[in-house]
Amino acid sequence: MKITLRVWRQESPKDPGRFETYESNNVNPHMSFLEMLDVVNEDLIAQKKRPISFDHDCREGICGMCGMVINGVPHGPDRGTTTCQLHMRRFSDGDTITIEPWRAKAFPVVQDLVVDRSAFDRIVQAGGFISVRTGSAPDANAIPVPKDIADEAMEAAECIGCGACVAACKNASASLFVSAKIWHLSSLPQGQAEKDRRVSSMVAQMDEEGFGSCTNTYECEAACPKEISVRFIARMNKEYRRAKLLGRS
Amino acid sequence: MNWFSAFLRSTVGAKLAVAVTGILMFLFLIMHLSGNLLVFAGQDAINTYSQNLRRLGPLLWIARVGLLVSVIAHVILTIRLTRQNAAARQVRYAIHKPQVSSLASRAMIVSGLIVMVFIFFHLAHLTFGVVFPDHFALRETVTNLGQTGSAAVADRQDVYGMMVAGFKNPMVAGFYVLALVLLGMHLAHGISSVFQTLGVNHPKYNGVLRKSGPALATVIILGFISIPLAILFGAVGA
Repeated sequence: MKITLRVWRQESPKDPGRFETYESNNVNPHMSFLEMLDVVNEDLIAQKKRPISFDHDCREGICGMCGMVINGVPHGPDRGTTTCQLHMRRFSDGDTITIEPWRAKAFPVVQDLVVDRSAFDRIVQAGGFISVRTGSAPDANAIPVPKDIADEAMEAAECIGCGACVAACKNASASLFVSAKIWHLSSLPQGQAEKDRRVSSMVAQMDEEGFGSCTNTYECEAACPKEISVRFIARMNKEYRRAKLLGRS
Repeated sequence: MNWFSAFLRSTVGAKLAVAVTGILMFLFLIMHLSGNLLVFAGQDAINTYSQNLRRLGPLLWIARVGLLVSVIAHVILTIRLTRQNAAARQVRYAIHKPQVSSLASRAMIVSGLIVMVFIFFHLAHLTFGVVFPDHFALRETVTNLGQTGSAAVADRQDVYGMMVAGFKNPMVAGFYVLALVLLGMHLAHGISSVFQTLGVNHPKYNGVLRKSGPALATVIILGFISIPLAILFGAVGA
């Protein structure tokens, strides 16, 4: 396949950045999107040019490291797919593909397609934990948890923290991430003791980091590679209201 | 009340206040529409309605103040949130393709601000009588037959005549229709959005809740639009 890439190149956080165009004639349709970038980078290295920087780790869709906006859609055109699981057969011979980093004030560009997502870490540090030791894996049914609640907690816990929700949102809101991180703990018995404090401090940290607010357009849910439901944002809204208006936090 | 202002400063708290004030304005719209539709029942019906509304006295003022506070809070909070949202993405995408969101949901601030300008005009037109003072000054003479058979002649504001005179003007009717369509867009997203913001999201009801906005908005706006159009095309007040 012949592919033309329009890639965002930015030397450093202070560099204003620009698009550069690269052509590659030896793209195999079975390559993943990241393997295609590897091939393009090999060519750049051979030409003594700086290769395109991008984040990646497991390349099996579970670590949350990779992520770029491909033709205007975070993680590209496939639903429920990370960038590393997107394959070049999804494109046609001769296509031009535009690649941009996540765009958010809270996710400053480090270089090219690499953004600093430590704002997410600080939100989790603000309340995404249980303060007491909950023990090692408990015996089955030692703490009874109804199946539907366990399923919902598991669904929220699927979030890999890639940041596609922020990238897709017109307001660069982190609501889907934050609500999933709140709910996978606050829905379970071990997490309930601190639920008011958790929602209160995680929302405060989310605002502090400079993410926008949720306007219920649901673009986040569509972009999420784990297809996390916006139902968790409704849960967060309710938790926050209860904690702030009726609770002590 | 420190805790309450802190609540309103948070994005999630501000959104909740936007939803609650939105609901209050929505309830007002329903009452406003049901009153306005009396224009189809004729001059006496709507003029009597208007006269009785004013006789509510303190109750009317409580409603007016409540509505005014709602409008001001809704506008201030949404403008602040929009500015924060714009600041959250300073470098825009070269290509951005929305996947599922409606145009109405993305253009809330635009539809909202235009509707706000319309509300100023609407109040100046039909509430304060600044736009067409001569329409506003129209009176209707009514004869009340007392129990003794004596007739008392009085006059009252002719709301019917004022509406007919105003909407006979195609520019005025056109502006009302345009603003109402934008209000419809605003409601189409707003009504469904309120549920999510209040935390109502359940797979059993989401289908209905997400359709409720566009459906209710369509019915309400068609109701409102029918009035200037009926007058403009002579079905009422010809």
